[in-house]
Amino acid sequence: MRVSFEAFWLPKAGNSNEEYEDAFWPSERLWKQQRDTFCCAVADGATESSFSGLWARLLVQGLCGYTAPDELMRMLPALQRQWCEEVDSYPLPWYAEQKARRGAYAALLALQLSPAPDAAEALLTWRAFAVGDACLVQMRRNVLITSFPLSASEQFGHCPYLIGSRTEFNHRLREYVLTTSGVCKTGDTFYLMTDALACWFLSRQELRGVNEDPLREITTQRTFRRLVERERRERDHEGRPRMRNDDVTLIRLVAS
Amino acid sequence: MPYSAEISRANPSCFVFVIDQSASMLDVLDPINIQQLDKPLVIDGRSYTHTAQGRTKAQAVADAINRLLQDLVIKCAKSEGVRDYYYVAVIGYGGNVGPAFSGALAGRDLVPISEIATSPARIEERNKKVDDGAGGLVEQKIKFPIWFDAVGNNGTPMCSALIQAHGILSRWLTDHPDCFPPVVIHITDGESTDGDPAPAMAQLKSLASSDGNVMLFNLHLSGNPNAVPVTFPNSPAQLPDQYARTLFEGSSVLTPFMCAVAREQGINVSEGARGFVLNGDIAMIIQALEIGTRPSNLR
Repeated sequence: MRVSFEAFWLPKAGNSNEEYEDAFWPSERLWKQQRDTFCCAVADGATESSFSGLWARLLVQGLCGYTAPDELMRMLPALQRQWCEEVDSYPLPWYAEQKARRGAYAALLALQLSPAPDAAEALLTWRAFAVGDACLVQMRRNVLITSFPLSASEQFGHCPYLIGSRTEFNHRLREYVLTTSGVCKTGDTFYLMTDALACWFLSRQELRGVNEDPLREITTQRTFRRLVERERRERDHEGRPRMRNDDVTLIRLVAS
Repeated sequence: MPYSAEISRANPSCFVFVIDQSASMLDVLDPINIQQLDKPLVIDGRSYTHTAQGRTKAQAVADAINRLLQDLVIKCAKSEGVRDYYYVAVIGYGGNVGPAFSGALAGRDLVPISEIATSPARIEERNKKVDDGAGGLVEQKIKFPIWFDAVGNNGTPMCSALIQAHGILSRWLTDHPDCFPPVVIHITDGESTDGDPAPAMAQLKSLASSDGNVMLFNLHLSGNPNAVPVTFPNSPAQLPDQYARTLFEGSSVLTPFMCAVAREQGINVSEGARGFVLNGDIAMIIQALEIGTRPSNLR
């Protein structure tokens, strides 16, 4: 079994690389160290909270490898303490202190691939969980066969339920943790995408039919940047940018 | 599609607060210990027959503005500092018409939000009840910055103030033709003394960027005993007097996004709801301006 891994990212236009608040895990180097079971995750820190890049990084590192909601709920308090300790270690002016008291928020999507028990039927089995609007797409011969947790561009809003870094804003988190699973055959491609890219991807599918993979042309960070910048510039039939200006992150996995 | 321009540091938007500071704003809201005077007392041309204790309209306005400025600063705060998504002016009208910031910002009109964050006149400490994470509330001390003090004297030159806001926004829109449309928040007890404010409100709303017209919100602090608090009505039918009806008619129609946020906050808004609030809270307006993903768990 071989699963190739590539990650691409770009901050919101007008922001610096340091202001990028998405996160992904692992790095390519760490990916190569994985054996038998492969795990990866993307997270999207909410613009309207502060220290959300830090929270997104803690989530992908801390929760990559877990795909059961109970595991997420069990692991979360330690990550929340870690976030609080780091934020509390900074001397903050009044506004940053009050903003930090409201916590940081992030969407999270994690995927785990394992060897299939019956190798004749499938190469791998996979399980995923999501909170918020980062999306997993599975393509087979350029046809979309899975889109999780959202499956249409109109489902993307601007105020999803996200994972908070403070317990007091997470009362209903358990009911927002969604899970799914499936099988993976040789040649299948998985995309893990943060919301702006996922919404654009699904809208392209809706416009042009499911037999197209608009991310196939991406081979390097440079071609990714070129595509994102072009789609942010181009307008849809209502005059809105085809891709919303936001941090974007893509993980691509190909099974062979 | 109007009201969809991105609000960013490269394409900031603008807030103008227009604040009634006339003598009538020294009237007490919800008065207690009311005592009749032996004979009427005349102050600044107004005749008073009773004394009472309680918070004045001017104090309520100062609290509302300081809270709105605080919310706006916090909305724009990130880990590295405050991003200049907005520029803000506060125009007062009463004895004078002009910039109304206290402290280091006195005399300034449009100020970037990062400078507002670092330049309150003073920071007070207040108590606030917050969620304790276990279904209860605990009292927490919070810092409450003050940029604007309670003031009340002389007449109510509302038209002059709205014309001054028009001038500030005209200049802003010349420099920022593609910005998200500026928002004007006007707080008053409604009794203009320099003419009918309807034409000045209409002129203000006629200003536009390429993304839509200026939005005018009116918060009316009414002492009318028949005034029932109302938020974002779509009809003037329940309003107690002509002052309230004039302000209602002058208020902008809420955008669909603002209506959606109002509903999320539990405010019942109908088709054609106006940005008019009678004796209520307008803090929701800040939340209804979008600068990015806002988690639904953060209300």
